Amino acid sequence: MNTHICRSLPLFLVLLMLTPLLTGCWDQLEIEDRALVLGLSIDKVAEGTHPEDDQVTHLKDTIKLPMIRVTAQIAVPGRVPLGPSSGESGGTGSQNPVWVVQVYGLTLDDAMNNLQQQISDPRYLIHLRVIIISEAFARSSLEDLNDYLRRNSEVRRQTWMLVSQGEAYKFMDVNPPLQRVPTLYILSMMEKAVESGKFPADYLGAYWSSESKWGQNGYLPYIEMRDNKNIFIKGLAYFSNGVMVGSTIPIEIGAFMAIKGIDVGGYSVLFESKAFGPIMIKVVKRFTKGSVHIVDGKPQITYKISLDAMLDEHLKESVSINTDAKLKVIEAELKEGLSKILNSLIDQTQKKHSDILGTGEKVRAFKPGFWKANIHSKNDWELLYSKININFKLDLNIRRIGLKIE
Amino acid sequence: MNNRPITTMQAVAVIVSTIIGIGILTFPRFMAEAGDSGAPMVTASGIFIAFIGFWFTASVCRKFPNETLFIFSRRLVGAGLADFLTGLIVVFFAFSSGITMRQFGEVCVSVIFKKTPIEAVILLMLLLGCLSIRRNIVKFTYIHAFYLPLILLPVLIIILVSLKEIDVLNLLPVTGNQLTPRKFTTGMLTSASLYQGTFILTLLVPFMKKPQKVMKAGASALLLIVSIYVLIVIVSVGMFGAQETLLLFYPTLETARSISLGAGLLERFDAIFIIVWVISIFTTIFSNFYMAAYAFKELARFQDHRLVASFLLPFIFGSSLLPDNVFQTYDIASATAMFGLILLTFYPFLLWLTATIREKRGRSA
Repeated sequence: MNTHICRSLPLFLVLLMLTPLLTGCWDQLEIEDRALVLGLSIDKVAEGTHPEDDQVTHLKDTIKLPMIRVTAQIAVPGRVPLGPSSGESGGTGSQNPVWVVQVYGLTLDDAMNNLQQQISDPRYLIHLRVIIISEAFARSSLEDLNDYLRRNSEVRRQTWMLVSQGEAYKFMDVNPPLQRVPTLYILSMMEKAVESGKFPADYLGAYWSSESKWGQNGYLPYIEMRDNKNIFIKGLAYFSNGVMVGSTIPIEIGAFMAIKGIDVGGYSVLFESKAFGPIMIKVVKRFTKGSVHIVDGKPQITYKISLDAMLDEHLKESVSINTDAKLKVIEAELKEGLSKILNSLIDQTQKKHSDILGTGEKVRAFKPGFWKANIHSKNDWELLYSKININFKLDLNIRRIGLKIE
Repeated sequence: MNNRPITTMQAVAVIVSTIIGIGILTFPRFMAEAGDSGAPMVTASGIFIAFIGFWFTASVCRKFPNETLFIFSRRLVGAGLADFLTGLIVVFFAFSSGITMRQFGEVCVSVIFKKTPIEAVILLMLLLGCLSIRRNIVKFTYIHAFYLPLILLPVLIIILVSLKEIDVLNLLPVTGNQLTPRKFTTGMLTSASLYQGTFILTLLVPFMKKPQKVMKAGASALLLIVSIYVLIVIVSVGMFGAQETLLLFYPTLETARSISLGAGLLERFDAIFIIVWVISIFTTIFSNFYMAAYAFKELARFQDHRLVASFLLPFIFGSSLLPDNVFQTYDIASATAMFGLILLTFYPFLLWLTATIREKRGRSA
């Protein structure tokens, strides 16, 4: 009897030691019980309107900050279509895969707390892919966003942040025909724009990095809502001193990408040739080399831009483009037209002290002596950027003309 | 049965996997602080200081290939001083294990397990370490040799994938824009303090097949590690730029979070990275804990170190809970590392000096 107990006691103890293994995850939380925020939009509250302060994180009137309106798009578990086939088979068809919640707050974090106060499931930002801020908000200050989103370990640097013309909340409620989830539509639109050379891969992380650098300013995609369901990439919203100071037109995105040498080429240029009439040229390949010289105590940047292009459209049938010499004529004319576009981008960013090209980083990297002597803060470079000379050497080659000769 | 079974390659493996640990997550920030775009150079310079301590340790161990440092030090500097310094080594490695565990816990709690109490994370890892070190040095070596490829390969893959995201401008000029001799020295010392795991070779020498090759083993281990460190710094600073690196608490983790392979095919590199990193923390804590337990055993003239391990556990756990907040954690950690750098450089130097003097005197007599 005694030996029996002696033998089974160690066994019992060993089994007892195994029990912690049965407990599973400490942090376990089923996906159905999470409120996954897919997209956020942030607006400034219009002056004159005073939305109710929810007082979730503070007492009323203890802190003076302008109010913001945050609209969150939350995925409804089970209703987000996972594949292309899981479309309209449900019957009702009107079941919205996302839930749009609007809250007000003094800061983004305050607004997120107000949001949590009214939805049951704990909110998660791990799937946050798109943040849209209104132009008015971007022009005031991004300090709040930059801090909260950098600090939060759930937010990835691979998130898109876009600036919208007009109010941003509308983008959370679009009903695009191609994708059932509005933010996924915006996401896939931006990703495809990057792939096809229409937009640089300007994620939130890239924006932060350029904003941190002394010799560079950040930029964000600038978008506009069309027909209440389409999103139009309108240009680059560029920043100076931490706030948005201006925006470009779409063709200047092409100019920007050409100066940065971002391959694959994606923009076409329509111009009026003296001899051949209106011609459309499509840029297919971009390559750029920049060099820095100090001339008269000021940095001078020369970009040597090589573009490979093809003829896309030629309207005037009476004159044909059929020889090498004629292509060369077009190339020469196009160079002039392109220089205008490039210079218009440079001129406006210089006027607004926004070095989105990162010329300052080039000066810092290649002329450290000059940099150390003259630049002591980010602001120093922003001021100097307006005064420097930026030159272009264009090397343009029209390689092919498509399937029609004449 | 061969009683000197550890090969030179295995010795390299132990040193490498001991050294690669908690530091890799944060050190690009310290390097960027010291040298901005010259961070890789500052990182690389640390090896020269690290090498001094290593060289003295290795050359003195080579002179006494059949004993560990704790035994022959008594003959060299006298039992009293030797035991006092061995005691310091015990305290240093035990405390450094504790503080490493705390840093490990901080990362786990703030990034992965947000609701798990930090005590649970630390205690589980310590228990694992405590059970693993109840083995002799040969098995200790085998465990390291087993884990090393699991650390090195994923780290190299992550580095290779992130290489394409680097903007070379961020790394120019290679000497940095704001580098001052003072900042450079601080950075160099910080970088050097990442290598104190080399001291583990004192345990290996008596079991090495060719103890004379310990110098070669250690030197190649240090070279391997410095190249990994430099690559990590190149990747983080090259990707984010020096200024942005300064803002990130864990730049290396942020690097792993920011990369993706094949248009979103493999997006969550941070998961892979965290797994690798947990293994590398385990091997580090394993060595430090082993060192502390073994040195204590020698100090108290015990037969073996197994009970010592269990006895040390509450102290290590306690020291890991000392800091009040993250800043204190990192302040204490860097102070500990500095102390370690000084102790593990000057003590071997002292031993080497007395050994050399005695040798000379012995020859002349």
